[in-house]
Amino acid sequence: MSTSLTRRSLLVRGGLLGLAAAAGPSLIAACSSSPASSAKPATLSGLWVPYDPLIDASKAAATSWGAANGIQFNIATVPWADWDRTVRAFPQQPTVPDVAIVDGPALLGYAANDILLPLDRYFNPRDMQDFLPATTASAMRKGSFYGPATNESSQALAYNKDLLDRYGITPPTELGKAWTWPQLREIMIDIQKRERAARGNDQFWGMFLGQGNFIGGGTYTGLDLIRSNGAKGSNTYKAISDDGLTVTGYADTPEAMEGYQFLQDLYIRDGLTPQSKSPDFFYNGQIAFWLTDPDVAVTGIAEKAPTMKWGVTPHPYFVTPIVQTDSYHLGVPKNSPNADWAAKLVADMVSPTNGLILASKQKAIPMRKSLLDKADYLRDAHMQVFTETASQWAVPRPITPGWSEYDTVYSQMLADIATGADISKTVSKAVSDIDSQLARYQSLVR
Amino acid sequence: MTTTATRRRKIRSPLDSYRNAAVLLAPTVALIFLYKYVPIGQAIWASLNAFSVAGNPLAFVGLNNFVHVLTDPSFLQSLALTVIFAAVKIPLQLTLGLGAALLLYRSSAFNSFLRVVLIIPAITPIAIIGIIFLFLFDREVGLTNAFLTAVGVGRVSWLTTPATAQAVVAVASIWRDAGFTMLIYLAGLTAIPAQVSEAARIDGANGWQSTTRIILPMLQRSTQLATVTTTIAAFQFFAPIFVLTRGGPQDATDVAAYHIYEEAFVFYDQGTANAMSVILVSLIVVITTVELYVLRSRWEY
Repeated sequence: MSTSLTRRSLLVRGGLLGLAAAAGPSLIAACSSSPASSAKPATLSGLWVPYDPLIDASKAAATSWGAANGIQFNIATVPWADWDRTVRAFPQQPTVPDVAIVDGPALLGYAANDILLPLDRYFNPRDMQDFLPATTASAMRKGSFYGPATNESSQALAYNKDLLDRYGITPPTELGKAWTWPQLREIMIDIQKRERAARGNDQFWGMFLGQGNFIGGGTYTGLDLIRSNGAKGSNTYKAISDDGLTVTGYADTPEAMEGYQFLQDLYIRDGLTPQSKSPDFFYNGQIAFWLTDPDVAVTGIAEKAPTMKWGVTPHPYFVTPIVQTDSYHLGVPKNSPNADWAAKLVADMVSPTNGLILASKQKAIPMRKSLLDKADYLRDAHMQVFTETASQWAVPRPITPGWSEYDTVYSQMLADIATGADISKTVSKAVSDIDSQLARYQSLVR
Repeated sequence: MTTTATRRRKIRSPLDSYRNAAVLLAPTVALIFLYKYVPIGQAIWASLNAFSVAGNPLAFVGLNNFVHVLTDPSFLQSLALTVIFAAVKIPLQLTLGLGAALLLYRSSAFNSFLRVVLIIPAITPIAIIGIIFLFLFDREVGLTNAFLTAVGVGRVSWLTTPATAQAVVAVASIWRDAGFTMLIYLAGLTAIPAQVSEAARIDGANGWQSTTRIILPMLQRSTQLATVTTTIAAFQFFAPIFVLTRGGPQDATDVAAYHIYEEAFVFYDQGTANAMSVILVSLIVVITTVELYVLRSRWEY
């Protein structure tokens, strides 16, 4: 019998070797208890939103870890409109990014749907204490932590200083002296009347509400006004039930209805706010006050109205000062093949050193309390009110696993109210729609 | 005597032609099947299942999704809106398209230029159409209100009042598609033999009689095609609504296509969304079938 290597035997041996090579890592991974603890990858992939300051800041914050571990971090972007559904589809995808930017309020839904990896073991109690509370509330589910914020946001009232100086108005800069909404309304009515008379046309308004994507301000800005009409801890203040599934009795309280009426009056009866989504009114000197967040105000004004003299005064309120904050978060898809390495990268990106890089490159408020006095730009006159607001008045947006559903219906409700819809009917329908959408999450929450 | 070898010609049987045709068509048919009919099958399957909020199929529920959808007032309203929208769009668009074709079908440089101008909206990406109309009809900065203010009429809340928002969306749709309808009628007009029009003129028919009794009947097939394509476009109308109104204000522009988009991609209810899609497609098929029958050409020339 011949013992030489034949073509058949080569093929058989090669096939067996190939099978072993293919099965080996899977077997090892199956035996491992840690999240996809794989061999060190050469690269990690990230999926970000197309927001250049955040991308540049993230790359800078990841540089030292990448260099120390010999791992390159590459960032791709997803269009804004596809962002949420792309993240939701991760479990069904054969390939997913190792790190993804996720929206803070949507985090709970992703966690509930088992899309993201819990990251508790990558952060110690000191880290969790140091993160600003409004940024961690939405990232927690059943005691597990699903992703740190890249920065904290804030909201305040930017104003055209030249204009207000002309009318002898000096807005407060201390939170304790913040205007109430009725006070602000009177000031805006006066300024608008005089300014329109001076211009000889109606192309001037008292205020612009929000970042420019929703008439009515959307949940991010418009809901601040509504929630502030409730005493702290009241249903109006909370805006949603504690389990995040019910808005009946929270979004339709008598105080909330008063808030909706005030919002509608701003747009319709008093005509103090333009029925348009364009935020350029402030840059063009057509608006006295702009209720917005620091990224949009500071960056936008610097780019589009660099010679404008402007100031910042605290967010107005009715009964209880409240400002909804929270911004982007870093998450690790559970089915990433490099989840362990990705989680280590995420933890390093929000370390005290790199967290400051991450925030300062965006000129944003850092996600850690210990960093609030570390960045000079936070002491800038424009940023100071935003920063104090974030540390004293900040609350997360309504915490619900069905954020996309809640946000869409509620924002449309505010837009309808702002443009003159019957408030009672509109709120009743929206509340019913939201509750029926959120009911689908019952099995995930209860 | 010399015998000439004759070549025997192979006689091709009809089966050979069919086989060759099948082989040549196979790749295209496979692609059409894979990218058109397989997704339709998947959609029908999905409509018979319940899905979790994460998009995972939970259980076969038979026709439950259809019952839920057909008893959902908001979907029924969106269907009704869509039908009304189609009922307004079809006659207006056909009239405009036919009118433009009748005016511009004679050959001249000016007519050629105008034909190109009228077809440009039809080849413009539909999302751009939405942005153009946003710029035209924004309450504060739109050109339309700038003109109205200048002539003393005052501002109109075009996109934030239900009735006017519906009108703007309808105008955007008709303005975009009328050029394509004009093309259909131009093709039909050029196919009408000149002798027919000449004979009518000799017999003493005036312009109106010529148009209504000769040209229009002979454009029956073009009318049929234009009606069917316009109907399908009306029922699928989505992009400008996404840009301009997002189904508002107060659901005034929440047509079926947008409603289905929200159900699938905002509310993540795949079962319900697919059931709505099946219903919408079925409605389109029924309506276009009726149109094809009613508008069938009853004569040849």
